[in-house]
Amino acid sequence: MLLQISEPGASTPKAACRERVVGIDLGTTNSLVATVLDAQPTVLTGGADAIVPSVVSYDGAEAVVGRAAVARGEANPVDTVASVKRLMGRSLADVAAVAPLLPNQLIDDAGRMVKLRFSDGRERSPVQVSAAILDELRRRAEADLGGPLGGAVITVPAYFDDAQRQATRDAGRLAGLEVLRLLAEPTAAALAYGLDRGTRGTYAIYDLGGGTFDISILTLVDGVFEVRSTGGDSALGGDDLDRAIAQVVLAEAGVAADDRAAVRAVVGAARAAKEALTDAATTALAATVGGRTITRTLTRDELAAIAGPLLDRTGKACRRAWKDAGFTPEELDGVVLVGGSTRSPVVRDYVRALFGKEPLCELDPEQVVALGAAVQADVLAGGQHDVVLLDVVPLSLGLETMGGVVEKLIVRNSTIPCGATQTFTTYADNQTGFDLHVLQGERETVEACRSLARFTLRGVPPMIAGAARVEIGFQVDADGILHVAARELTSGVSAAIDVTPSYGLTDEEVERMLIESFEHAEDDLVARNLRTERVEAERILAATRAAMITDVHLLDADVAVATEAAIATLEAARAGDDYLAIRAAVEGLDRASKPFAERRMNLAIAAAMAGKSVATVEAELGR
Amino acid sequence: MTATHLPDPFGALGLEPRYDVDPRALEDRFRQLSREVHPDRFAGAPASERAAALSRTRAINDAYQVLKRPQRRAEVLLAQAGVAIGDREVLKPAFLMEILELREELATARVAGDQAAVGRLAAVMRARQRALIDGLAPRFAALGGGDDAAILAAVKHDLITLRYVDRYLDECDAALDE
Amino acid sequence: MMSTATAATPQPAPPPATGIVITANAGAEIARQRDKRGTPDAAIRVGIRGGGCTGFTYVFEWADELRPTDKLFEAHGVKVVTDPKSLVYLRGMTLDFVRGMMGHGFKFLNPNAKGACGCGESVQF
Repeated sequence: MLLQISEPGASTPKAACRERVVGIDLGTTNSLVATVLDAQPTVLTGGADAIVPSVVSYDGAEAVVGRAAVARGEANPVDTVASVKRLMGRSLADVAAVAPLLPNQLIDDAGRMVKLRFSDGRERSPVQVSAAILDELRRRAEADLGGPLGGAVITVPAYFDDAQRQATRDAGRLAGLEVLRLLAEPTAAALAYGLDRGTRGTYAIYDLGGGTFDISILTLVDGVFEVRSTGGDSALGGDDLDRAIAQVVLAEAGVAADDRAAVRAVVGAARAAKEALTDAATTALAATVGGRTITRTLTRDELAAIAGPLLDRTGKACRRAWKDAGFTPEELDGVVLVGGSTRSPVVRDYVRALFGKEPLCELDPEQVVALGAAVQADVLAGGQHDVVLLDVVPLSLGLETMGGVVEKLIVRNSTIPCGATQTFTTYADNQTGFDLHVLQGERETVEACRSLARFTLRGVPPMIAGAARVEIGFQVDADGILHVAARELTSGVSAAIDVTPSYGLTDEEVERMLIESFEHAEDDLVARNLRTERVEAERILAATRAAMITDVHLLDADVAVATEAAIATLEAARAGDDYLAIRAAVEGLDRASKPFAERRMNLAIAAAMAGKSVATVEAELGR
Repeated sequence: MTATHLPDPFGALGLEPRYDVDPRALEDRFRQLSREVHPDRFAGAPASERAAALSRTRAINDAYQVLKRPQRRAEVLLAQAGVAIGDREVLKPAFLMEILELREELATARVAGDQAAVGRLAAVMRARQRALIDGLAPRFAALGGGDDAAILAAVKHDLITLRYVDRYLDECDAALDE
Repeated sequence: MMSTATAATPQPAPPPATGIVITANAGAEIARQRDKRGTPDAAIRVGIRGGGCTGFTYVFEWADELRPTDKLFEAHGVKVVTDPKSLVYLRGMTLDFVRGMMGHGFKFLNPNAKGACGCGESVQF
């Protein structure tokens, strides 16, 4: 923590402490955790390596993460999970292309998120496997920072859909982290770059990781990072290039492509060869398959030829992104490289040719996302930075209408948070229910989009066909996650909604997993909740008191009395150890101070619209 | 299915309702307001303030999304002038025939995988889209000259036509993405 | 570790192990802010006070008037004072100034601190 000089007598002891917050890059291949230390984003190591391979190996109930898991994986492939990010929020059918290449046993869960079955018969969701990685990162961070974490910003590929984002957030909760925000990876990178270089202008962020590709076009102006468009492929990365090389090698050697062990051996060798070609023009590739050794030289030109079709897929997404943003590549001020796969000269040459400019890569492409996430965590934890991120919805959100057509309510690249409503009417007399189907994607037909959830709306008052009007409201929060609400307009009745997420976990499932997991037994959970609520209470009390002093003129007498009473109630609750009572008191204070909050917000808006300082507007309003 | 209430996007951004909005001024206003009320700036505030910031930001974002597109801007102004575009608006049969024929051509090119042909069809339709949008400004400028009903009817006609044009271009994009 | 630059100051600063060390960066920044404040004679008061989640927080403010019991440390043309009670907990401390991507500020490198809470805004002795 850095201190500033106060006026005499003005050094005030902090009423509440801010706990440490971190940024986490939860990657397909590698993961990292970073925090802001003394105003500088810094990667944390927990006394080990900065980079933790995103690999989890299970020995019964015990999970081993990182390098140890990689080592264990050679002897226990079935119980060792790599690239679990590819499975997040995906059904077995979705991952049919990669499933045969994985050593793990994947099982269908009635078309919902795929599960993994381990050799002892245990089944785990990809969410639980990701949580094990996050848990390891949390432990490392806590070891470095000497205390429990206050929260984390976790990055996701910009092109992650709703199901994938929800799965990531659930993994964070399961790892005992307060997820402050899900942040798009290219946006995180732009944040680290923009602040480091004091950049302004419009930039493309080309992010090719181990398993995902993202392209974002952002405008940076005076601390506002506005994402103009984003695109990508949440199943395209360096892993795919390794497999493409392996396929060529296997075909030449006459080995069947469905020989899993052979494929794995050659994929490993292909990755090593690819990495060697970052510095050398030619390298040797060697793999042992079924007792015989396959050797081959691989040149950078051959790599470029093999990578061609994959890179063209990134090119297509880039072209769409700059078109959506309303820019040509010539108009862009630069293109920034992010992700381990952009170390390859083959990728750099492609990006240079595509954008017609030398790509920027001053910051370590493997660390920049975690560093940016740490910056955003610091901003959210109340660090005084004049930084605002304006991120977007990557894929349009809509509802199925008659005839299997998708009606878009929120179009892609809308700035979040955002919302939209649509009204439906009944098509039969005395119809009291609706079946609604929420989808995400750009295509017009239901089959070509992703099913996010099915809703059954009940309790619509019986009327003649067409008389009842049901309003469906979509709201996308700052994490890019969709919330749906419905009400019947003529009667004013809120219709009940039953949500069946197509891929995600229900809240009950997450809660159950939390309780089941050995480390977070019920007592732990209560203690953790109590700690969280107390910190929240301290924070709210401090913020409310500060606002009551600075904006006392906006505080009506009756609101002031109610707020004071609610403050007293909260203070009493905070002294006790009933976290539910604290939570209720926090909510009570919120209700009491709501009119005050609204007035403060109105003033801020009025000032911004007039382009004046708040003080000037206050003066004009005649105080 | 119809869009229900149209909130006033001009009001949400504190702008005078008019068609010829300066795009730079619109962007500046959007950024400036976002900077003031974005929920990230209220992360440590009581929930009531966070909720207020969230709903304001949502309104600002939704308004910006509408106003930055000339077509959507025109739709808002038309609705504010009391002219609604319904679900079953009737267009001239000749126009519908032409669109149907163009759709068939597109479908043929798409099936044949003829990207160049798709590109040509898209270019023709894009020029048409441009012309229709460019035509909106003079129409709105002429409002208040006594013949408003006829002008608004013409705007409405253009906007309905544009919906067909847009849908066609969406299909072209989908074909080019294949 | 850090220079105390005693040669340039009229009064000798105590040896590093018992006093407060001011780094060149900290000195330059204090001087800059002091000039901006328009109080060429002002010192900086450092100290500790009860509060915070682990027991104590630092005092770090301008001192326009000194108290008779204050201990004075000078380096790089700037003055830092502390009360004798606080000095017990600040002995051997280095006052530094750092700049990072996310801003800048003063840093207390205090060998007496047994631990800091997560936020670093309060200290334990």
